[in-house]
Amino acid sequence: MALSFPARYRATGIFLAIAGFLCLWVASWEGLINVYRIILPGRTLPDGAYPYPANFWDINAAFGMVSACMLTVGAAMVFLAKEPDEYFYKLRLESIQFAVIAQFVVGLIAFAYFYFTPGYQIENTFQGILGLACGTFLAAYVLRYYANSYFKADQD
Amino acid sequence: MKLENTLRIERAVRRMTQAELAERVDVSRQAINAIETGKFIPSAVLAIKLARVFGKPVEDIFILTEDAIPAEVKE
Repeated sequence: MALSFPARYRATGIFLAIAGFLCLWVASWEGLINVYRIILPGRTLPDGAYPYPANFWDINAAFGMVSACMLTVGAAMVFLAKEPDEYFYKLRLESIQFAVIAQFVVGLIAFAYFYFTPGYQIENTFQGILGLACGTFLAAYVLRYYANSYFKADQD
Repeated sequence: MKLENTLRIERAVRRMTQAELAERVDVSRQAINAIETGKFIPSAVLAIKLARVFGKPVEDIFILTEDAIPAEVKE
């Protein structure tokens, strides 16, 4: 595996991918405005409303792009890191197969939900469905891999 | 496919832990555990390494049971 990274990058990759995913989720929901509320509480109006600052959308867009980069780099580090031995390579393959199936099923269920629930424009839900499916892939992969490699391998 | 092995017995005879055996053949303890429990079939190289640790032929450590052999091969 000449193109693989050393195994020590895996832990960093998992952290980066999870942090990137969470930050991307915050950026998607304009959650940064809550950070503004904490940092600049003086801008709160008497009725409790908080007007968006002029530079909010630029910062939110930059935050979203940095988060997406973190997620991509983290995922690459996880999937390209070397494994300790042949058993872990098999485990990685099995985990990827499991995660792909989970991603497909969750994506399909999400699509069916938005398609059959009144009030949704299906064109506006694609990004959310893709995000949910990608998140499912990552979570399913990590859970399956670590559940099999550490929790089911009893010490003797 | 059913490939049984006597790794656990051989280890017990020599009072060897999974971690010690894993170190001898340069794999993880989890790999030894998975081989012993039949969840993972090792490569030929790893099987030979394991057999060498116990000083026995590979066929004495890894046994292909009858139901694993296809009917056309038996004939």
